[in-house]
Amino acid sequence: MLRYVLVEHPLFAATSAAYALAFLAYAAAWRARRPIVGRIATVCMIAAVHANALLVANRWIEAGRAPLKSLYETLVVAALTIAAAALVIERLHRTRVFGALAAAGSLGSLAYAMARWDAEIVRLPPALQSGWFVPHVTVYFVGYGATFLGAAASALLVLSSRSLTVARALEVRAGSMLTAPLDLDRISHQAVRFGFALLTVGLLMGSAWAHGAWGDYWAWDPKETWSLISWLVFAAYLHLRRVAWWRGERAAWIAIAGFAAVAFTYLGMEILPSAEQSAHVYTG
Amino acid sequence: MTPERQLAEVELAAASADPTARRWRNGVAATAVAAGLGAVLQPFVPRGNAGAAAVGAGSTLLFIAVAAAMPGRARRSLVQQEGFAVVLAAIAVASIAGSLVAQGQAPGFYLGTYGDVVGRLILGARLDDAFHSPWFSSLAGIFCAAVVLSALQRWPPSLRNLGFHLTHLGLLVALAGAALSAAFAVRGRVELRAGGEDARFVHADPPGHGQPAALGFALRLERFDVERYGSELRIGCYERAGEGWRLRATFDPEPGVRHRLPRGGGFVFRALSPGPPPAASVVLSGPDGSERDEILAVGAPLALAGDTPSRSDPVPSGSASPSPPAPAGGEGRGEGGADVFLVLEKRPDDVKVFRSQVSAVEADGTKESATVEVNAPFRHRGWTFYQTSWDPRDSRVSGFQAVRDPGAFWVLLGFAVIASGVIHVLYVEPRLRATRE
Repeated sequence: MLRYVLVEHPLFAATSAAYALAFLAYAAAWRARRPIVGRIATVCMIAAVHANALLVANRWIEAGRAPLKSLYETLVVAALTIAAAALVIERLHRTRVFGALAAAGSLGSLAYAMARWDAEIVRLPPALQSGWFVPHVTVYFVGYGATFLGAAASALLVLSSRSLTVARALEVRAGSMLTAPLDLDRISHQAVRFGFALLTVGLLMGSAWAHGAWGDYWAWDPKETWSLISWLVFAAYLHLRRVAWWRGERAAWIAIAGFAAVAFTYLGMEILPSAEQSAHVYTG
Repeated sequence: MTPERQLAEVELAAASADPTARRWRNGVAATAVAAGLGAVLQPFVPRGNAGAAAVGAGSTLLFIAVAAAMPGRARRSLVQQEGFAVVLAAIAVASIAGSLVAQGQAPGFYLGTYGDVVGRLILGARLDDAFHSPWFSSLAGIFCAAVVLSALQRWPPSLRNLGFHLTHLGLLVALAGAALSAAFAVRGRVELRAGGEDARFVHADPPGHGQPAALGFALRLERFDVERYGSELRIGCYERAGEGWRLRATFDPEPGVRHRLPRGGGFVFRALSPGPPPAASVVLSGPDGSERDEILAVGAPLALAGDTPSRSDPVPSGSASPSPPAPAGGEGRGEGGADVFLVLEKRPDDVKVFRSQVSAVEADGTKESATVEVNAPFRHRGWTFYQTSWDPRDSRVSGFQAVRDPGAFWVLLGFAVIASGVIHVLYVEPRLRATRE
């Protein structure tokens, strides 16, 4: 399969290789004493994001529609949104700490995409030929990328209080651009806040679309239900953060639970008993 | 005393000093009362949307009334962050429970699938229709009450808390719209044959209880078209998957391009003969570099035994459909026990568009005509007709979902207000605060 992908889909292979390089460089930057290592990692990540964007664009042209229909296609888009969200956080917070996690996440997404390879490009059924299709799915996937990084920051926060190795890794400054101590709680909050806004808009767009297609704005389809569950968990997170005792590690656990709900919403629907009646479950 | 013990005691003391503990307890108690109230009412509330809407509205009013009668500190417990988080968590847990059980099946399904005891428990707890059960509606009711009370507590709105008020107003408008839908919406199905057949009634779901609901006009299907995507040829590579076959990869027949197969080996497409039947001339190559010419004809799959391509003696499938290839000898395997087949076939001619030309004809003969497609419904006098189905055996029959829903507009309006409120809370208000500081 690997040789098949290398020969038949060289852009996919190149994107995966770029993420692998970015992962190695970011991981090295955690321990490196010279800032150049961190800069190389950023360059690799930017290259990977460009290659990933090109992969998405190529598929779009080849399919004659937005590449958001099958699980394979959305996994490729998810890889892009995770990496792009990490670059945004890197720029905003002047840290490369998340680079390795994001590169690993994107690489994992592409690896799973390879396991769920599309035998062929499927055409859009009538229900998906809607003006809502691209904005609804895109908003969701950017939201997924943001909540992934929110959960990653939360996981680092939890681990750093339990593992000396992680705590030391977070203190390493040479490979990062840090000028102040890393505030994981704040980074997680910002990522979740951004993700929550997008999950809200995505949920509402989905309802408006369903209303236009079938006359039902809400049908308790398992994917709808789990989108609501994810939204409720993050809504609880944002409410509780206003209580002084619910910051730091306590809030981090809720952010992790929220992303677990998001991941299940995306990938776990097949195991639910009502999946067969769902209009959302990937068949590819 | 050991250090661990000391640490545990310090933690215990810290926990007991948690100033929010009382709010948690009150939040949990109120949520438990809401769920319990729904459970108590369950035997007396008929199944369906109307009962759910009544319980939701009733429990909202009840909790608002109880909260108004309570002293300030107890009342605030529900509207402070901890109490509200408990309500959100309870609805999330209830939703998870509902998603883990197949919804809306006949009682026999639950008894047969889960066994007698668990099946009866599911039916008794209405987990078979969890999202319309009284306990779920009662939780929605306490959620509404908390939204109302927290909005009242932060009244009046100002630029500083506008997002909060917008979000909560949007939630209330959407939930009120949902209650209107649940109580008064009429949904039904209409199937019409093209060429002038019309319908004056739809067979409605509850609250019409399956009774015909009068449209007040005649809906006529003038014409129905099914447009399909083109069905060009492809070379498909199938692999054995359990007892069946799985399409692993497809290739466009482009002359001169060398392709690699997922299990190793490859081929070069040379030329296409239009037939009939159409056939492709290919050069197959094995991992060892050996090459041989082969002809792929539609309906005559080529077995690839192991890694080396070899001609099987396939039974022609006799169709240009994309179904997996008929294996040689009818025993499920080709020559040499092949697990991989190459086949020239037509792509599935999937449906691209369903298009119904309909007219709504009034008693006085006036007529409004429209084209209905999926995602492009037709609205007439409060009814909306959605293109939802067709009959593959009779291409002239078109199916519509007919909906008259007085709550839908309010739900969608509420959603828009929620989205603007959330964006205001998360992005506008922090900027306003920063500017002031």
